[in-house]
Amino acid sequence: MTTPTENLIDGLADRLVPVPPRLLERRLVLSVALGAIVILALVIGVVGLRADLQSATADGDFWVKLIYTGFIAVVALLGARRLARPEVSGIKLTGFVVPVGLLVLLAVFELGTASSDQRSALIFGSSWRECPVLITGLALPLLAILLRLFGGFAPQRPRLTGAVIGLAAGATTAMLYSLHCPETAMTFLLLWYSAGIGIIAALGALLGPRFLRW
Amino acid sequence: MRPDEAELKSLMIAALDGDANAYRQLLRRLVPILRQYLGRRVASGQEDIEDIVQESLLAIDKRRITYDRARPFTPWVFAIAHHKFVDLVRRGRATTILTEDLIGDDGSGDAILAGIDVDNLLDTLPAKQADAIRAVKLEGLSVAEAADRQGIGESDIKVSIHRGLKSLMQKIGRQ
Repeated sequence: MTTPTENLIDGLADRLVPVPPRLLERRLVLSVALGAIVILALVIGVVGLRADLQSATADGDFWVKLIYTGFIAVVALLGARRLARPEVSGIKLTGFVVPVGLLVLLAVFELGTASSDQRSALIFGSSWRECPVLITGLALPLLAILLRLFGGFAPQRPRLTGAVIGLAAGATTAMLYSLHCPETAMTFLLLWYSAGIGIIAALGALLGPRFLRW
Repeated sequence: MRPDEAELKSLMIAALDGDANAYRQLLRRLVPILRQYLGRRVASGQEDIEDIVQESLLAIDKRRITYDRARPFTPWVFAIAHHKFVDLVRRGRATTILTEDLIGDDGSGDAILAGIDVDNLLDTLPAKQADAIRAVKLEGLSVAEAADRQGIGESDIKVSIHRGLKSLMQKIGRQ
């Protein structure tokens, strides 16, 4: 028991700390919950809830916004959980195609049935400028939390993992942002929510190689 | 030596549950397995292999949260060792590493592809370094012959080869 490698093994074994089953999953859920609380506080305290929030819950579009963003968030989190492991070299992206594809159908139908002078309102609403900017800004704390968390995991693909973490952070944020956003058009949702989520995913891909090295 | 998946996995699960003796036993069993795995990839010497073995053990310890008890254990270990190996290449510490991962397993198709890759990679280097590597490493000239041909000193050739190989390894590591 004298070689450096053997000494190292003894040292590691002596300070072994147990790792309960599903600890990775628990940390991931806790981190997202923590980030979501911060974002919700910012939405309520700084950005403001939409004035008609209570009556809006009776409208389908309110729920489509939540389901679209929630669907992406869940698929991204499941993917991120897989990518945290060193032997995983990629994930299927079909899970993202479903919500985007369905929303494209809804948006095409919406634009197709609208008169030509309504279309601009469906596309731009009244807040197309602020929507992606606010989603991006609000998502930054959650992106930071997740990059830090995954820096302790062992992702084989830092850029892809960063992008998927970004999708999770962006989609979770967009879900909470919808409590502020008064827009009702599917086309608006498809364009500007996705833009905000996409910006954060791109940022995640950019920062991944830096923060997810090990 | 073929790693015994069932045995190693049960040791790992005991270790995750806090059994220090099982953990010590597990890590000891992993050492020869890692040495063999890395020995096939690292041709630059025993020291580098032992270095990566230790780095792998450290990473196995630090990142054991990423082992999923429902999945096979040995692929997880080899993935970590592979990552540490690539990391070493990327840092350019072992410039003489030769590896099946970089050159491909035998077979002429791979050899041709590897040749194309090497040419493409060499084109990204400064001409002096690329010429020195081509002359000595690919055409098999001696350092003195290469120095004569390029009209520069022998030490210049050696340094060019060293620098060129080092930045090549970094480029490959990044891919």
